[in-house]
Parts: sequence; structure tokens; C-alpha cells
Amino acid sequence: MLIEVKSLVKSYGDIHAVKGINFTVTKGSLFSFLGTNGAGKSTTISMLTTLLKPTSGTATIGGYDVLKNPDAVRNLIGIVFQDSVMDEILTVEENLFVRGSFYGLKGLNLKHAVKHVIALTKANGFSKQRYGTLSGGQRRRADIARALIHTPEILFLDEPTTGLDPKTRQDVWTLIRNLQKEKGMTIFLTTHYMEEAAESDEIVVIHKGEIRAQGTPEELKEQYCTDLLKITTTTGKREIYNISKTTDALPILDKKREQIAHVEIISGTLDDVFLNLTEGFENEHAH
Amino acid sequence: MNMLIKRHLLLFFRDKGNVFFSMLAVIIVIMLYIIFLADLMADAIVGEIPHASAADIRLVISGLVLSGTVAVATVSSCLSGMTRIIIDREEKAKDFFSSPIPRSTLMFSYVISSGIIGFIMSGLALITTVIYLSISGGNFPTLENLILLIFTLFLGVLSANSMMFLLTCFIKSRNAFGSLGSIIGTLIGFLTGVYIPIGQLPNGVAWIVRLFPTSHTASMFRQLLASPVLNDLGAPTELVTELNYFFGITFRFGSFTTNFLFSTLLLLGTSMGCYMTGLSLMRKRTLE
Repeated sequence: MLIEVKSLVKSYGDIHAVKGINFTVTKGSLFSFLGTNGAGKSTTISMLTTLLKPTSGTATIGGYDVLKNPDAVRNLIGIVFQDSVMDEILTVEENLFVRGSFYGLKGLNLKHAVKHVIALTKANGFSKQRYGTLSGGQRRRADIARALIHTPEILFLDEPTTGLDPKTRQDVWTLIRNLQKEKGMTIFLTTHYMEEAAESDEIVVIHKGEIRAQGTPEELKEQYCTDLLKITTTTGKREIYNISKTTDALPILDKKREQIAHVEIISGTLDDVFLNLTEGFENEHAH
Repeated sequence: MNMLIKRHLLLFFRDKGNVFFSMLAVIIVIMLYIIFLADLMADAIVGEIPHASAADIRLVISGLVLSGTVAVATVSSCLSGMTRIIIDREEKAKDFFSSPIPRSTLMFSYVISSGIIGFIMSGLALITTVIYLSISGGNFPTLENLILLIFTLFLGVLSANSMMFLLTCFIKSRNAFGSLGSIIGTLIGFLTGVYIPIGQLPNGVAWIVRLFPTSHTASMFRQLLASPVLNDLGAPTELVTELNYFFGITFRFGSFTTNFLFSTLLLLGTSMGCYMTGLSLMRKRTLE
């Protein structure tokens, strides 16, 4: 396990942002961390990336404790933050040189590292341009290049495609997938787009500081959402049934065989899973 | 650390507006000087030394005011240099603190880069001053004075940088820092006795000027740039001594009169004190 989180807690006085969560991330996997705003997502990531001290519990990355050995952890992680953190009036290359020096890279090694990440993220076309003049997609590429400058083991991406147009989103996404598949990089992702999470190996849903569900996208869909069976009868009447799995439609269809004019099965999506897990709990708490 | 210092410097000098505003206080002093300060100060001497030529008196006044201007420049340029700490703390903290770069390296890079900015900007002000004084009839400084000028500039920047660093330690937001900048920009001309000569200030205010370290930078510059001309005007010694106190060429603490060495030690002491306090304050404030 590359990341192991055990009973991790973060409290601010009486406010408990993260209430004792447990999860693990396998090396080389694409891991999605889902939650609404204020669910404890950012707090958890901040603790994992050594920016915030946990109140209690432990988190280790590559065997190093984030609290006891932060610098070892910092060398293992690369982070793409939600908002840009590069210097607007420096070129992409200049930015990368500065950031690379943070990891003890010097001289020729630094030069090679910069060249390498520029090639890896296909940023050659704009590496001599000032960061502030780049388009949204180019910025994201540059951000990813910065996160990779010290060849980390794991890449944290905090909503990397928010605010990008669909085409650019796809490009950035392809780049991330390639890093995982070709370089064996472990990806730790938070996103609002469920179709992106659907491609991950493992999903953890956090809500109000607690983990509500975890598993593969398929497992979560199976467990937390239903399919819909829509039948239009020969008389024009529409009937809708909730079925837990697609094959449950068969007995219903069998029974109504004579009256059916049109049939449609809509399978549950991760969006439904997400809404069920978060809104469902919301209502529960209201009672 | 070199890479970081280079970054801070590039960020400062590529932003032309930034460079201009860092010198705003200096530009204001020069404008005031052209508009009325020169005449006001000349009046104070003309009556006292009737046989001195108007051109020579003008030269003394120029030397006095421009010396103060360079001293003001050390403070305002170092303050601009320190802005980087505040901006980075607001915008780049996540990026920097999630990397293994030691906090101390980061701190030193800010202090050194703002010192370099201070040295370059007030160095330009000093070069302009020396050239202006030479072409308006003064003698070009001797080699010894030239070395002392550079020494004073170095010391002035060192101390101004240390004071601005200490102030920065107490400021958290960019807004607060902006307000601080305006206040310092306004006050600095008074605090160093540039707008109004110390001799015309009420006693309490004069004490503040005497104790304010940058006034001593100004005093050292005045001794190097204005005294040579003033001493040659042919005024009686008592009068020269009085004028020295009046214009802040030297300061009086009771019966003690400050000199070049005293001011040097005062500036060194200030620098040590401010850097030490600042660094220990910053050390306490690492994560969270």
C-alpha cells in the first residue's frame, strides 16, 4: 500500500472536519476521492500533503509518517492544486527551474528534469511563454509538469479539470491516464465530474468528515443505486419501476408481455451513487 | 537558494509598476525639493553667511536634500522588496510548504533578495545624486569619500532591510502591508528630517528623528556630500557647528555629538537586533 490512513482526525475546537477516517491507496492505481464542498476532502488532502497537522490518527505515504517524516513524504508526492501556484510573469521554464531547486536539483540534473517534464506533458510549444499568458489547458499542463519535476511516486490532483472546456478536459485527462498506465504513477484524484471518477480503480466517498462508501465504481453502482425500467403500454400509459439490477426487469417484462409498446432501461450512474450517498445522509440527519 | 533569489529579483524587476512605486517616496521628495524645499532651506543660510555665493549655498542644500533622498530610498526600496514575502504567503504557501525546501532557506532568500533590490535601487539614487552634484558645480568625491559613500549605502540598506523585515513579520495580509507602505512612504521623509530640517522641528519630534536609524544613514551621507562644500563657505566654526545640528549633518544627544563612527555602530546594532528578532519570530511561525 502506498498510502495508509488510520483513524485520521482533524478538529478545529468543536468543529470536526475529519472524523477518524481509514483508507488505503494501492501503488499504481487511480484513486478517486469524492465529496461535496465542505465534506472534508481538502482537509484530508492537506494532511496527506503535510500542509496540515492531524489532530490524531496516522497517515503514511510510502511508509513515511506525514507528521514525523514530512520531508521524506514531500519528496514522494507531486501536487496539482486547484488554483494556479506558478508565477505569472515568469515563463513556464523559469517556473520549473525554481520549483525544481526546492527538491535539491541543481545544475545539469535540474536542466534534465525540466526538459524531461516539459516533454512528458507536451509543453514544448509554450515552455518559453510566460505562465500568465497561457490558456487554461496549457496552464494545467504546466501545473502537472511542476508537480512531476522531482519524479514523485504519487500525483495528487485536486479537481484538475474544473473550469476547462470539454476538449481541454479530455486532453488533460488523457495525459493523466497515460501517466498512470505508462509510467505506473499512482494518481490520487478529487473531482466533481463523475464520468472521470468512473474510470478509477477505487473510489472513496467522504461526507461530513466520515467515509460513506468505498469500492470500485461497479461495486458502488451495484450497492448504492437502482436502475429504472420504463414501459410504455399499447394504450399509451407510461409505467416506471425501480429495479436493483438489470436482470430484475425480466419477470416484469414477462408479466406485461402483451401490453408493451416500448421498453427502456436506464442504468444507475455514479452521479446517482454520489447523490444517494450524500443527499440521503443529509435527509437522515434532518430527521 | 540562488534560484529562489533569482526568482524574487525577476519578479520585482519585471514588474515596471512595482519598480516605479518603490521609488515613489523618493520622487515625491525630489518634486517637493524642486517646488519649494530648496528655497525654504536656502533662506536659513543666506542671512547667516552673507558673503557666500548663491551657487555654493544651492550646492550645500542640494547635497543635504539628496543625501536624505538616498536614505529614504534605502527604506522604500527594501520595503518593496519585502512585499514578496507577503504575496507568497498568500498565494504560494501551499506550493512551497508541500516541498522539502527548508523554511530557513526560504526566509534567507527573501531577506537577501530584498537587500539586493534595496542596494540596486538606492545605489541608482546615489549615482544620480553624485552625478547631479558634480555637474551643478560641485567636486566629484575623492576616492576615499567614494569608498565611504558605498560603505554608507551598504550599511543604510543593511539596516533599512532589517527594519522592514522585522515589520513584515508582524503583517499578515497584503492589504495591511499596502497600508503600512503608504504610512511609511508618508512618514519616512519626516522621520529622516528630509522634508523639514531637524532644527525646525519641535523638540519631541526632533528626538524621534535623532533615534530613527535611517536618519543616521542620511547624516552619514550629508557628512560626505554636503559637508565638504559647507566647510568651504568660509563661515565661522561655531556657525558651521550650528548648521550641522540644524540640518541633521550630525545629531546632539545632550553634550555628545554624533559622528561617522557612532552612526556606523548604531546602524550595525539596529541591523543585528532587527534580523535576530525577525528570524526568531519567523521561526516560531512555521506550520499552522
